[in-house]
Amino acid sequence: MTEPSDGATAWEAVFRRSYPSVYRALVAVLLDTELAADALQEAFAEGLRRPPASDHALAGWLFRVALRRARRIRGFGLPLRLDEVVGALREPEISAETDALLDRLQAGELLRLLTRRQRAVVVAHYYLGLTQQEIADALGVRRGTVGATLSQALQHMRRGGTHVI
Amino acid sequence: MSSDLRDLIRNDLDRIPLPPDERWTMRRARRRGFIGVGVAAIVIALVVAASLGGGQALQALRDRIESDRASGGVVAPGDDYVYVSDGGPSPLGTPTQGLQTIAMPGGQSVGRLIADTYVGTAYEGGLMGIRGDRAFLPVAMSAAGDDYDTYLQEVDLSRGLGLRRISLGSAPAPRALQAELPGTPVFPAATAVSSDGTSVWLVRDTFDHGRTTVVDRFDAQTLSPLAHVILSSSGSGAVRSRAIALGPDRLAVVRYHYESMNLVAADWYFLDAQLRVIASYADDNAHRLPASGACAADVEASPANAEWLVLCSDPSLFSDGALLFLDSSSFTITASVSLPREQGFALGMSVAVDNTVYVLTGRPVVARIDPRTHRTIDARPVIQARSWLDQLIPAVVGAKSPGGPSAAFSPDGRYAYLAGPPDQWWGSLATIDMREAKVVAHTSAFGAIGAVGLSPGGERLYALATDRTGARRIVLLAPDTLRSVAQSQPIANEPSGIFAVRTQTQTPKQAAAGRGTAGPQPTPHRFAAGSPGAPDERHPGTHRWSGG
Repeated sequence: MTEPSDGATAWEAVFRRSYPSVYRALVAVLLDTELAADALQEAFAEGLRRPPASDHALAGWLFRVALRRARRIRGFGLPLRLDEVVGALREPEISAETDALLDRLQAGELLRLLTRRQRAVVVAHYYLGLTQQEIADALGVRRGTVGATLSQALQHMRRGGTHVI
Repeated sequence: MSSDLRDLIRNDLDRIPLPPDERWTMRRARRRGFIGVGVAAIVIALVVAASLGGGQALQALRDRIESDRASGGVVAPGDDYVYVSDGGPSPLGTPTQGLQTIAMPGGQSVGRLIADTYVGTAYEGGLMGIRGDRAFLPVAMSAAGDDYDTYLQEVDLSRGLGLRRISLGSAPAPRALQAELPGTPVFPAATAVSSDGTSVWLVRDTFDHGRTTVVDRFDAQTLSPLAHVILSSSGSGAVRSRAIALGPDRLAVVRYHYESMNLVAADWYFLDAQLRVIASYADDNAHRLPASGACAADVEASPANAEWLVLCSDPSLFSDGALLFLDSSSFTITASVSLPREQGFALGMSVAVDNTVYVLTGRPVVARIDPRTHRTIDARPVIQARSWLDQLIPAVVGAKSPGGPSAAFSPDGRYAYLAGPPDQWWGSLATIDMREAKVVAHTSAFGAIGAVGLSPGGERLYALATDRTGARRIVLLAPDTLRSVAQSQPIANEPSGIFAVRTQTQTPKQAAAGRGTAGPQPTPHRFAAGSPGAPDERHPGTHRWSGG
């Protein structure tokens, strides 16, 4: 992607360009501003060690790596399986700061109706503009699962939200 | 809608404040330090736990050996008929789905009824309500043009016999419904038989996207129509219905609403003997049962009061589930016990001999509910073994759809048998002690398990297993140890589910000769092995129903 001599600088530059959108997407998915910042910072570090193959779909790459890092942070860095178990058990808490932030957003009410996977799919699709295939690659699921999850999320928002969507 | 949502999300999320620039790429010590301490603490805890658990593991091993010696994996291989549904909902004009009879423990396929016999799929679950030894299968045979001749095929499950085939007239293929919900059979119908065997109910989804459901009740002996009603709804999506017999003369009709192939809601109607609506929970979520009506069809009678137990759980865990208690006369909700969504999706329930109701969820958790007080006694995570470590970190089992074919409960309500793909940590088959909330046996020795079924007394467990070569067999297992006792030959036509298990009351040879036929039934016939079902002219007892 970049020349070895100025690789780190170039990587930081492209990272900073994508940071705002990916950070906001992560806040919407994780419902935790601190976790979003930490996870994205770790994705930056990951990019320093092993840069993505190209700048194309960089937001998707950062989103994917940061979500994995977030899961690991939540799971205390335990191996993958235990990560999932512990992470799942710790899922429901939303910090007061994030809660207040979501209260100020119309979309916050809708996003809180969804599971984390549903939020990830909705945000990746409608905010980051990823295709269903890119979301499938990012989340490690099949494309059909993305479509079904998106459909279920819309159903939930339609039923639970007070907004006309 | 999508563009509005996109705009709303974009505008709103763009208002989320960003952290200071310097924090974007700066590693924060606090979190890392916290994690480091956390990891160190957990490693220490694991070492301590493993040390402590080691002794208990040895004890558990000794107990297990002792237990195995006591049980010896011995199960008396009784003579059962295992009915498997095979094929798939047929492509138009080519009936492929069938009901196949496997005689166990010999393991031979002794008959197959085909002709687009619809007995449920993994997608929709089993749609037949089977109680007793008689089943009535909706059957469609291609007729002229786009029409199909439809029948009800009566089956004597204990003898492996097809009995009467009752003509229901011809009907066009439900093109709109099939387009909306791929896999829908050409005869989208379901049946139920009353607990005393005197009545048969038939529900048919007709007209535009199945939104008009025709319900008929027939006398099971004379096959004369007794009552008839039509339930309909408007709106979008497709509707598939099923019937649930509630005692001798009450019926629940559940109309599942699908949109974009997703189950979005279910309407419940409770009908009396004349098919008058006693109570309904339908039309919108304000009036539906909990979880948008997503309640299991395995409705149970309360062991304590004149009530029915209905288990509701939202598959996406958007809302809490509930165990409902419905008055058996008015079908009003007399009590509701909440099942928090944090416990996971409700896989099913059983009623223990001490009248406790056990609900098994996908977390997994066993919730114990007292049907007398309508209160939760406790909810305990299911553990796999006896070590202390297992209690620290509850194991996770795979989920299934509500009341689907991949779980069975022992008649005494004590044990649950869960089936699944072989990559689950617990293997593809597990026995869970509901009282102790513990996995007592699990295995993946038989490959993927598509369905499980118990002999009527619960002594023998049958699993539909698919090995690595794709061959499908029925495996007879000891329910407590999951040791294999016998298995069938590979079964043709890709069976997908276990329809029913019944103890044989007649040998195939006797059955073929038609001896011992009880009651005023017409001449029975064996299913034709591998050949299409015979036309109704072969059955002197064939009646043409005028109902519906």
